[in-house]
Order: sequence, then structure tokens, then C-alpha cells
Amino acid sequence: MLTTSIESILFAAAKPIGIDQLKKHFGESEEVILVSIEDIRERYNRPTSGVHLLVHEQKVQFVTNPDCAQDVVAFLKKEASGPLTQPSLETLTVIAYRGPMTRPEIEQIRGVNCGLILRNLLMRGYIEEKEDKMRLQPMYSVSIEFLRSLGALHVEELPEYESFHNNKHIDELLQKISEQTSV
Amino acid sequence: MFEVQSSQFSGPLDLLLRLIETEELSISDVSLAHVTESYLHHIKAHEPPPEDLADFLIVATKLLYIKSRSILPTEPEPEEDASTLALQLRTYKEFVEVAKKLNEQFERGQEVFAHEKPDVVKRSSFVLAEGLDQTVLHGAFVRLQKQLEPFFAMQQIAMERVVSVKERLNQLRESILTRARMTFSDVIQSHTSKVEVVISFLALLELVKQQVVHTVQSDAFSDIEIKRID
Repeated sequence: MLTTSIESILFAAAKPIGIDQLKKHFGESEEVILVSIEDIRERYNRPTSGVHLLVHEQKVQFVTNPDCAQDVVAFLKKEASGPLTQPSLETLTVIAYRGPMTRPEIEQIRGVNCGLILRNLLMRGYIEEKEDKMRLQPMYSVSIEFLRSLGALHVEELPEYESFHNNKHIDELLQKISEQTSV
Repeated sequence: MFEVQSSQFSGPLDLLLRLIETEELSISDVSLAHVTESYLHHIKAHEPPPEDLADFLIVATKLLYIKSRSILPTEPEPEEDASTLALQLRTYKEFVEVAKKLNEQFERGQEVFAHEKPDVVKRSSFVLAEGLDQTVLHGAFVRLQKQLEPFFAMQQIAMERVVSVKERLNQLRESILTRARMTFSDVIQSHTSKVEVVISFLALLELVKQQVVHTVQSDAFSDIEIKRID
């Protein structure tokens, strides 16, 4: 019944729903909610289903099947996302694979000041900025909108996600800047 | 010395990577030292945008440092910063490659869509008044209908009259054609309501106006004689 209720809520909702909100509403533990979410995901995320479940950063949302994009765009006269410039694409890639991360970390990987581009990406809604209480600086991560325009239902679906997300070289590199900045 | 043609770089690492790749070198301190001159030449020829200039210059200093060390005869001590640039560049290269894959995914056009927030500003929600149900609604409608009854009845009469005056006029015209004369009391003999009498009278007036008949009445309230005009 819990799973069914969650499914109905997700269907009727006009925006992504937080796992936290569901926990609070149903008075259930995160594990119980996640089991339901996983159940819904398994039932929907298959080629024959027109509706899929997108899960990102503790939020879930029903979306269309990536393979149906053309028809949805044509029929509902949706605007498809425009192309990305090379710097935008690079920055988004870095954040998608390594986020949430700070601006110095992004700049360490790209070797160039990213202030303008981050502002631009924030404005286009491709990334989100959250204040991190421990590190006292904003952390950037890609948004649900970004995943939607990419047609990815979870960041882990991105090509070679695992090898980039847990990469020793990158860890080492980022470690170096944290040493530099802390000196 | 060769030249990288495009001046459009997403940053100093991008330029450096292209220089190394053009020379088909692997990413190491040796190759970095090797492309130092090209790098300097390039940023001199195509000045980077002001906001990125500092970043280009930082990389330039790192390159010069690596280069100078490689020329010095003394055995170089292991230096953190130099290998950092190579590491940085290798990492950057990996990201550039995976960025290409992401872009391919973008271009496959498999965007997914979710419910949109409605365009309209949220209306105050519709709340049914307390105690209101189907029976109450039905009762209210029945009462309303009763109140409107006289109005509808009046309309009905008006309709009848309009139609009837015309009909009566034709009846009268036909009956006067078969007889040379008749009286108004003949006409209203069969009438049951006042309205009917009024209608006949209106029809008669109309016939007078059209000069089909003319009428004679000797006294007030006496019978009206109707004669055909030939």
C-alpha cells in the first residue's frame, strides 16, 4: 500500500519529490521508502514502459521514456534543450561525475577560472548550488533538469561513471589542492 | 615550430593538451618541456580573454619551471608542482574524452520530460460549502424553477398571441370572403377566454387597416358589423 501511495503521489506531483518528504509524510524510515522507490523503478524503467522513474540526489520524479523523446517533443511541441558550448560541456561533465564539489575543485580539474560558466549553468538550471556547512563554501552538483535533458535516469547511468567517480588520480589531484588551500 | 590554428580554447589545459596531441607525445614532464615554446608563442599570438589570462600565465610559469629544470645539469629534486601539472593534464584529458561521450548522448536526443508546473497562477481552490449536497442542490433548483414559472407562462402567452393574431387574421379573411357581412359576436361566439377575444379584435383591426373590411358600430359596446370591401 505504501508503494502504491508513493506511486500515486509521484504521478500527480508537478515537481521532484524528496525522499525526506516521503519519510516525513508516511512516518517511515529511509530504508522502507527506498525499497518502495526501488520497486517502482524496477516496474517502470523498462523499454516497454512510457513512463520512467528518475532518481537524483534523494529526489524522485516520473519522466517520459528516453526513447520516446522525438514523439513527445513533436506532439507536445516541447522545446528540446539547445546544444552546449565546449566549456559548458566540460564543466558539466566534471560536476556530473565528481559532484557535489567546490569551485576550486572544478577549477583544479579544468585549469581555468569557472566563475562565469558556473553562473551561466546555474541560470540555465543545469547545476545546483548548495552551501556546505562543513566546508563553508558552495558545493555544486548537476540538477534533475540536466539529467532530464541528457535522458539519464540516474547519474550512475552516465558512461564510465564508476571509474570517474571513484578515481584515484582525480582524488590525488583534488587532495593536492585541498593541501594547497589549507596551507 | 608548428602552430595550433584555432584560438578558441576552453582553457590553458585545453591548449596544452592540443599542443601535446599535435606532436603525438604522451603526457609527461619531458613533453611539457618540449611544448613550452609553442605554448608561449600561442598565448602571445592569440591573447586569451582577460578573465582567463591569469590561468594561462600560471600554466606558462609551471611550464617554464619544468623546462628550466630539464635544462639544468644538476639532478633535479623530486618536485611536487611539476608532476602536478602532468597529473592535472592527464585528468583533464580523461574528462574531455568522457565529455565527448556525454555530448553524444545529448545529441542522441533522448531527453525525458516530466509534468510541468502549470503556467497559470494557482487559483484559490474550490471548496464546497458546508452541508451542501445533491439533495440541497436539487431543492434549490426546484424552488428557482417555481419562481420562474410566471415569467415563462407570460412568455408562452405572448408567443401564442403573436402566432394566433396571424392565424386568426387568416381565418377572419376567409370567413368574410364566403359571406358578404358578419358581426363580431359571430366571430367570438366559440371563444372561451378573454385573450382569444382580444386576439380576434386585433386581427379585425388589422384587416380594417389592410382595407379588406370595414366596420360599423352603432353605439359603444354594441355589436360590431363587419363588411367586406370589394
